[in-house]
Amino acid sequence: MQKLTPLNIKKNVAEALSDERLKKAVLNATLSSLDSRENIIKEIPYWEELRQKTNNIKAEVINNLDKYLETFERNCEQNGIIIHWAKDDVSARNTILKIASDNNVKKIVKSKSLTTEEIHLNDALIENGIETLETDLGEYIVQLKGQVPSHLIIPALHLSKEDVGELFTEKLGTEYTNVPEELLLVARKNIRKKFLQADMGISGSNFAIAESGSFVVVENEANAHLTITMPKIHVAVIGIEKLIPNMEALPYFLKLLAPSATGQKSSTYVNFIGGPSRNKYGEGPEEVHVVLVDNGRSRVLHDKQLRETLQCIRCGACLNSCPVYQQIGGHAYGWVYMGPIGAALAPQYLGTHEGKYSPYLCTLCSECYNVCPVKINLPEHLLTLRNQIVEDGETEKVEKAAMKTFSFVATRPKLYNMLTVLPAVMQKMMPEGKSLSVPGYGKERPLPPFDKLGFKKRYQEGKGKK
Amino acid sequence: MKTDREIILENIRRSLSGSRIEVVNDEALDNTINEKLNSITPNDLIKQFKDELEKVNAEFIKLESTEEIISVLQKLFNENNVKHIAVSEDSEVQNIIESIEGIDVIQATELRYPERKNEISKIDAALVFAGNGIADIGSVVFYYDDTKTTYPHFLCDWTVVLLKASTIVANQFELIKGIDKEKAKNMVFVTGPSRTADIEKTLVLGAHGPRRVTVILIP
Repeated sequence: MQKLTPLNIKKNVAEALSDERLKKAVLNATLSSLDSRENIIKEIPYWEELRQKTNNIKAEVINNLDKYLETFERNCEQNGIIIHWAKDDVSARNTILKIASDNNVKKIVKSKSLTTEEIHLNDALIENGIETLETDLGEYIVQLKGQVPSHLIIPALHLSKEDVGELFTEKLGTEYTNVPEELLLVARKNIRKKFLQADMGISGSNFAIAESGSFVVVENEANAHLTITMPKIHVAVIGIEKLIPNMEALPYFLKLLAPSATGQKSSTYVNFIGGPSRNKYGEGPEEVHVVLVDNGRSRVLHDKQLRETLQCIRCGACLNSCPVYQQIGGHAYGWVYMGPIGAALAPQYLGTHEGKYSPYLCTLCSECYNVCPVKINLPEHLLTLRNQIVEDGETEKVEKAAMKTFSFVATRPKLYNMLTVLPAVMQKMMPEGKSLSVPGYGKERPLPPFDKLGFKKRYQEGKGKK
Repeated sequence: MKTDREIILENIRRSLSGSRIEVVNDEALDNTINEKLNSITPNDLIKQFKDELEKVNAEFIKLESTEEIISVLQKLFNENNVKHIAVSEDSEVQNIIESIEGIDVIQATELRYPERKNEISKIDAALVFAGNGIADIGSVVFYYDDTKTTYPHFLCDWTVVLLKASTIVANQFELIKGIDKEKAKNMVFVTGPSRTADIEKTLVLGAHGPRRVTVILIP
C-alpha cells in the first residue's frame, strides 16, 4: 500500500472533489449524524456545563500527565496488568510482535482502534505471518477493501451498500446483495468463527482510569467485548493522553461521548477491564497487556496552548460539522486522523514539514469548536499552527512571493488603486460568463467571473445609492 | 541505555516544565450540573427505565410478585420455542432454573475454557442476572464478580435478564457513587441488543452479540 502522508493533500482534495458519489455519501452521513446528535442533546440540559467540566478534568490530567501515568502503571500492575511503554510506532509494533511471538500467537482479532492504525500495526502483524482480522463491521469492510478508515467513528462512511455488496462477492464469494441486514449476517458468521479461534485480542481504549488501574472500551457491536474475552491474551494499545483521574470522572465523559459520536444517549456496551479475568472467573484473558504509546504526544505538550488538542476523546463530531470534511471525506487528509482534529494533530505529531498543508483544510467557521464535547478550541489551534508553519519556513515559494508582492502593493495606496482595476479590465477580454484563470480554482471549484466595474467603483456606486 | 518509560516521562516533564497550568475545581459548575441533573430525574425511575429500554429496542416485562418468575419464564421460553438456555452462576438464577421444565440448562461456569466459549456459542438464549439498572439510559450492569461469566450474555442470540427493581439507580453518576470499587474493575454496561450502523448509517440489530434483549423486572 502507498504510504499515507498529508503531503498528498492537494492531489487528494482534487480527486475527492471530482468524485460526486463520494461527496454525496459523506454529506449524507455527516448531516444525519449531526441531526441525531442535536436530537439527543436536547434532552441533556447540562450539556454546556458538561463540556466545561470535562475540559477542566482533561486539562488537569494533561498538565500532570507524568504523575497520572505513574499512578495508572502502579495500579494496573497491582491488578495483574502488564504495562509496556512505547516511545514511537516502531517500539509499539515491536512490543506487540514480541508479546505475540512469546505466546506463539497465530491468529489475532482486533476491535476498532485508531492508535493501532496510527502505528500501522496490522501491516506489521500480517508481514510476520500472523492472521489479523478487524472485527468492527466498518473496519472489516475497509480492511477487505485494502483501505484505511475515512471517519473516526464510521470507518466505511465513503462506501455505499452496493460497494459493500460487490466487495463481499469479490472477496468472500458470497451471493450479491445490497441489503445491510444480509451483509451484516455474512460478516457476523465469518467473524464469529474467528473469535472462537483467535489466540490474541487487540483493542484500543477510550478511557484509562488512573486510580483504579483499569480501562474502558466503548462500543455498539459487542465485537470489542468478544475481542477482549475470547482469546487467552489481550493487548490494549492506549495513547498516553487517554487517562482520566478516577471512576467518578467517567460519567461526565460517557454522557458526552455517545451523543457526539453516534447520536445515542449511551453506547450499547461500556466494557471495564481491570486485569486478567481468566484466572479469576475461568474465562477472559489469562494475560492483559497495556501498551502506552507516546509517538509524538509528549512533544505536543510543549506548547501551553496547543496541548489542549491532546484532550480529544475521538468522537468524530468535529468531522461531521466541518464544511471541508463534508466535501472531501477522510481519505483526502492523507493520514489516520482526519477532519479538524486530524488537521490540528498532523503538524504536531508529524512535524510542520509533513503537516504543512493540514491546518489549511479549514474555513475557520468554528463549528468544530461549537460541537466539540470537551470544548477544544480547534479553530484557534489551527490558526496558531498556520503561524508556526510560516515561521518554520514551510510556506510554498509561490505563496511567499505572492505575499511579498501583496505587502509591497498594499502599503502603496496609489499603486494599489491602479492594480485593483486590473481584474475588471482583464475580465472584459474573457468570454461571457467565464472567469479569469486564478490559481487554486478549477473545474471542481469554479470561480464566478469578476465584476467588470471593479470593486472600488461598485462600492462607490452603492454608497451613492444610499 | 534509557528505557522507553524513562524517555517518555522525561519528555513529558521537559515539555511541561515551567508551564504546567493549574486547573482549580469549579464548585459552582459542579453544583449547576447536579441541580440540572436532579431537575430531570423523575420520581418514577422504573417508568423511565422502561421507556429508555424500549427506545433502544429492548423488551421489558414487569412482574407483580416473585412467584410469577417461573411461570413467566416458562411461557416466554415455550412461546419462542427455546429448548436450551445458557445461564450464569448467580444464585438468583440458580434457584430459578431448577423449576423450569422441558428446557435443557447449560451452566456456563461448569464448562472450562475453551469448551465454554464453543458450547455457549451454539445456544440460542441466555438467562442471566444484572446487578444494577440505570434508569436514564435504560442500561443494565453485569458485574463479573456476580455472574462469573459473560459468555451467555454475549454469545447467545437472545439475552433474558433478571433485574431487581430496588437496584435501579437514576444515572451513571449515582451508580459510580455507590459502587464497590473492586467489583467495578470488571463489569460491563449493556444498553439494548448489539447493533451497527456501519453501512450507509442503516441501523441493524444483532451485530456480533445478541439480537434481542428482554429485561424482566422482579419486585
